[in-house]
Amino acid sequence: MPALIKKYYSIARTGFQQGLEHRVDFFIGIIGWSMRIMISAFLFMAVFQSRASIGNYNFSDTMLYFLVVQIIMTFSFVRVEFNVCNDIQTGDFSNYLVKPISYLSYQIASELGKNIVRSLFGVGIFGVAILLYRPEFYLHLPYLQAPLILLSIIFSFFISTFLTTSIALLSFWLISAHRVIYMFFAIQSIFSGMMIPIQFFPEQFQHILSYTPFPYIFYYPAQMIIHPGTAGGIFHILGAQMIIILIEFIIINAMFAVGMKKYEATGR
Amino acid sequence: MIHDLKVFFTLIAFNIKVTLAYRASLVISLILNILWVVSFIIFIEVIFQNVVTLGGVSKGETLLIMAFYYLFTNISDIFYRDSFEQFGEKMRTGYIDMWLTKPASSRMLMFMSNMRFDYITAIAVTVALFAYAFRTLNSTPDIHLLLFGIGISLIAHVIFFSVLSMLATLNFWLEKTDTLNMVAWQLTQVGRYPRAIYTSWARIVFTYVLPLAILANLPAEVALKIATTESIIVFFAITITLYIVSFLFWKKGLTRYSSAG
Amino acid sequence: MTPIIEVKHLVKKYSFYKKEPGLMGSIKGLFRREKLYVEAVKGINFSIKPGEFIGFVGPNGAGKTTTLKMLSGILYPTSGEIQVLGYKPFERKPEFQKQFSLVMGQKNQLWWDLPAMESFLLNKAIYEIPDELFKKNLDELSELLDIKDFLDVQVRKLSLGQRMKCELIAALLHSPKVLFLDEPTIGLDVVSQNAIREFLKKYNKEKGATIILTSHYMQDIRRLCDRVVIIDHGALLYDGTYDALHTQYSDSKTLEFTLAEKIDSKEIERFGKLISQKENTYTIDVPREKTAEVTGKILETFNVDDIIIHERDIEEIIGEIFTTKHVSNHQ
Repeated sequence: MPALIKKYYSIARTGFQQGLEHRVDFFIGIIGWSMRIMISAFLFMAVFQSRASIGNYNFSDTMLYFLVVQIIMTFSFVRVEFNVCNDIQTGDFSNYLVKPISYLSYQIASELGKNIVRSLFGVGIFGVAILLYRPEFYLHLPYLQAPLILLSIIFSFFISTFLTTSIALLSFWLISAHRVIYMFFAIQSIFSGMMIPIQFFPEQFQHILSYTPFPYIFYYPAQMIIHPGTAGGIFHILGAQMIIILIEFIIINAMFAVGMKKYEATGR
Repeated sequence: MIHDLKVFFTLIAFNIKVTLAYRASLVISLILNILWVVSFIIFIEVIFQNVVTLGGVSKGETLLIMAFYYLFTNISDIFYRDSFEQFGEKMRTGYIDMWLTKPASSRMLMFMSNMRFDYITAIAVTVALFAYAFRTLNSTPDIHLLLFGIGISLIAHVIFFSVLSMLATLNFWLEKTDTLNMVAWQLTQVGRYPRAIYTSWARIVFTYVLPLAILANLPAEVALKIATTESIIVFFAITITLYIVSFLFWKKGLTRYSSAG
Repeated sequence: MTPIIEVKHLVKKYSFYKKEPGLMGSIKGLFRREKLYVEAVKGINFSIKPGEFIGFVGPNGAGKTTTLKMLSGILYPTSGEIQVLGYKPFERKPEFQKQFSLVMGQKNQLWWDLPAMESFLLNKAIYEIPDELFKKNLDELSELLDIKDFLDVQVRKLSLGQRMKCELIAALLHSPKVLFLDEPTIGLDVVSQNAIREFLKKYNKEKGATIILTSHYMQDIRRLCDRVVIIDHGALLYDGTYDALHTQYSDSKTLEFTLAEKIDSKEIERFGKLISQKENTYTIDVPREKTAEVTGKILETFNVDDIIIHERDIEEIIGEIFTTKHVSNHQ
């Protein structure tokens, strides 16, 4: 196995074991997921009280959409940005600078490893929830397109992580970027399709959003699963995701280079 | 009590000086705050493009609830959110040891030492949101009721502080858990919408047990002169109860503290 | 004299989860784990009079810092009694907290982004120090520690030695009667270490403050402490004076002398056990009670250029105590 892959595999493996160690963390995470679904359910129950559907979504379709988004979220939401924030603030960042490894790659590999357990449980829990709520959904799943959908979810992970990491890198200039990260989550949650299907927005606004990275995090991957389009449509989404990842990668590295010049390595 | 108040004001002065050492924070926080508020206005506009009321609450009323929610969040962000978020890590690395030896309220020192005055610019954004809400309501606010509503909102911080304190105290029993902060964040989301959307058991839980639905709703109801006397009395009762329960829980948690290094 | 600190049968236990090695162990651990306990402090007893300067010595994990944290109220003891200044530390009464101070070499109370002076002002408010006393103590302490010029510099820009001096000032502004120092000289250069030692010695003598110091540096203990308490694996192994450690545990001294000319080693061995010889310099071991007599005889017999009497290395003695686990009380 090439040395580089071996290196990052070890990091991911350690992350995986760490993820298993913090079991309470994991069970509390389930409470967080449940709260999210519950708030959305109440909100949209109130919305659909006065009308049967919005576009081609009724209440049942909307909840199915949210459950699918939750599955994608269990893969996408890791803590890279908070780790970056803490490391810069505490000065622990210095420990990584002296090692023969890319700091960001290290963080991503480690968090991916930690996230495997959570993701497996997430898929299990929400998969069962969908089975109980809309069992016919499994009959129409685009099984042949599964590898492309999985690729899209992996891309969505990188888009989301790079976006929030770029916010976390503001820690080079801020007292602490934690709260700013949460604000960004809130913004992302609206425009990525996490809180509301993008189709609920006016068409013109949907068009503008398609030029931002946000809908490529949850909305388009969810659409690939729920309303499988043509192969051309899927490749268009995958292509757009790859371009976004490339642009974000360039931005992160630029921020990193500029931030490193300011970094004073003080802390405990 | 007076001593703790003096220490509190000293912490304010102290943290203002820290903020001034990081001028970029003021600008970046303002920009993100504007984006955050605008995003949620868009979200509410999108919902109300499709419905006339949300659980019987109009768009203007929903926006007013949102304004009180943001005012509430601004103040908690300035005075104590950061400290709560960092508490778990500081507790596990033993960095709260020094605070525990000081002759002042341990909860205040623990949860209010890191204030963020760089978020103060966000209040200007919230004031603009209030203006937008009243414009949508097509009414001029009754200043006395608005001030009363703001007063209720300030007292509601005791509830939120108590809830966060209880969550933070769980750290004394749990091993490393980063997710508590995320759960705390999720809990605040309960309060941003009209509480009328919560039905049956959820309404009882979020009004009386974990009264997060009333943090922004009750001040808005007061400002709109639709709050009942009963709800205000219950609010004060819940505030006092939660404060006492969280204080006792904190004391219990401290006996389990094992420090580090 | 009534003790200012009294500890009886003090115990502190920690719990932890046993982790099985490997990936399968980690997966099993998700569902079931064995809870184990470790006794960090095992029923220790000691008392300290006002004004004493006590050194706590022990290897890493011995229980020194845990004991200190129980004395300062940070940790709640599992069982036993503690009284400091007539208070139970874990009750954390403000009247108690205003009379003591804790300084930890590996953790700081000063704020990184502001000058030390700002942290002093914060402590002034917390400890309710009157303006006059604050000014008097600040002037005196900053003069003694020679740090006056650095009080308005951001703490993150100070060197470790300067930071430690500021930590000490922050801890002493309210004139505490009891001072707990946990490895205050750790990581400091020789000059800074000496400066802090001299300061602590002077502070103890002039103010009569009771000081408990934990340190791995025997120089700290030797130069500062009236009494040494040795702790290992949570148990108290020795409690007595520094000198008594030598007389009790070391029955010999080392004589190192340089002669004008080289002598046959057999001649030297008449006086003691020859440990080493380098050119004209000889090192011998002599029984403690015969040191003066042997020194006199060597000076009479040979043409001596230089002679030094060494005590046995204290680290060696303490290491031996850890291995034999001998308990002794020399109060």
